[in-house]
Amino acid sequence: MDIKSLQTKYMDIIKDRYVESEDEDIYFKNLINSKNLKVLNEIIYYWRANGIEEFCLLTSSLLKKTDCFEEKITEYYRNNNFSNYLEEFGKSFLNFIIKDENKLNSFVAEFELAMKNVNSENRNDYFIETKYNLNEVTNYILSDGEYPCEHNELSIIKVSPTLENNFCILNNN
Amino acid sequence: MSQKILGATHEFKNPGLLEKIYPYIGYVEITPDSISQNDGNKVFISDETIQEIKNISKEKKIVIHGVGLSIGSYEGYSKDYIKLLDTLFNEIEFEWHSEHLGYTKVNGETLGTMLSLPRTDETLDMICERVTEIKSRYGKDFLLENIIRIIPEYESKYSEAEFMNLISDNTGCGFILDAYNLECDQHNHGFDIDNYLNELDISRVKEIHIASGIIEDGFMMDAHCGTVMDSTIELTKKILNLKNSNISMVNYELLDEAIPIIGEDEIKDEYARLSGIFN
Repeated sequence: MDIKSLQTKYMDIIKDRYVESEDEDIYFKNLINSKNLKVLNEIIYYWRANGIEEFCLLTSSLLKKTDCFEEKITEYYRNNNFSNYLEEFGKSFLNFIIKDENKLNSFVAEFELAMKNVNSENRNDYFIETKYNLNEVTNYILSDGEYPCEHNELSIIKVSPTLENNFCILNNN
Repeated sequence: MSQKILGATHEFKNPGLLEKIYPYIGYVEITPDSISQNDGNKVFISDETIQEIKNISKEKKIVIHGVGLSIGSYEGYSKDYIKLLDTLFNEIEFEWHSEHLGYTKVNGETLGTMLSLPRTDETLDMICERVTEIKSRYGKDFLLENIIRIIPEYESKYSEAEFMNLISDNTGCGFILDAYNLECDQHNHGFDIDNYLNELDISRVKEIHIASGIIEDGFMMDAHCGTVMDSTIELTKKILNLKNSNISMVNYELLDEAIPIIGEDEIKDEYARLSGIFN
């Protein structure tokens, strides 16, 4: 098999998008179920998880608390071409979680990304609308608070490099 | 004073540790990818980092060892990595540079790890062409390092040593021998280290890497997370004492993540121990 086909096949297997043909080489049939592939995936997962834990503490803590950290990391790296640079990779992951169907995950990722952005070269202001109460959310993630529910009223959080602690809640719900 | 052959990898995140191990090392190994930044538009090495490397180079020899070249990717090696190497070549004096005989990207997509190559004529031609380009670009010694084989081998025409020798014969490329990686392959796949060393043109080996790792689910991995095992030290001594051995440096590899776990003083003690053996 030529090098292009072989490398492409390995990539498809790692990214879990490989479709086995009926007359597939026994080598690949064996690889799919091998301990080696399991170890390979563990290595890939370990480095992605390590990076995300370092880069976005709040979001990763929430995902761990709700037992979906491993699932989200794996889903992310299998479906995205991620950067080897932590800042780029971390921000891309947060953007991925912002699109999550779970609204709490989405809100926390959006807030954390805005906080990251105002601490970097980007000096813009961000306004985040949410039905969550930020204090309840951080209490849940960082202490033993209850899983926060959405309120009826909207809260607006301003994230800005000019603010003390880089954020303030404009109207609490 | 004779040149110390022990080296250390430095990523400029632990200046206190470098200060502690300074007396034991003759070489500092720099990884362009680890010291670079990405501002969203381009990858670069900051002026401050360049100056820090220059300061170190006044007292220690600098070598460069990358991880992001991906010389084995079918579509071509990384242009971003070459840009980083260009910066270092233009700004600092270094002894030689090196990379891994493997690949981390396929068609521009990141694998998330590094895979080894099948040892075929197609791969040989591809690697030799790229090594020749790189050597011509910088005019400096370029070394390739053996990496561990995580997944079972597909089809290879040449043995590991034969393949390395052919690359070197065709291009003048040298080698890094990673002693711990050899032990990993022996443990995981029954790789015959003695046979490999008998077959390899040892005169082309300029650098040895020593490290430690973990065994997980029976699989030995080069995690670079601990002090060096006796078996790795003995293997390294064996390589150093081989006929025609011409090795300039023994580099102890340790990931930044492992430093707080092991402790700076313990790492300093490890360098002192290794210095007593190899310097």
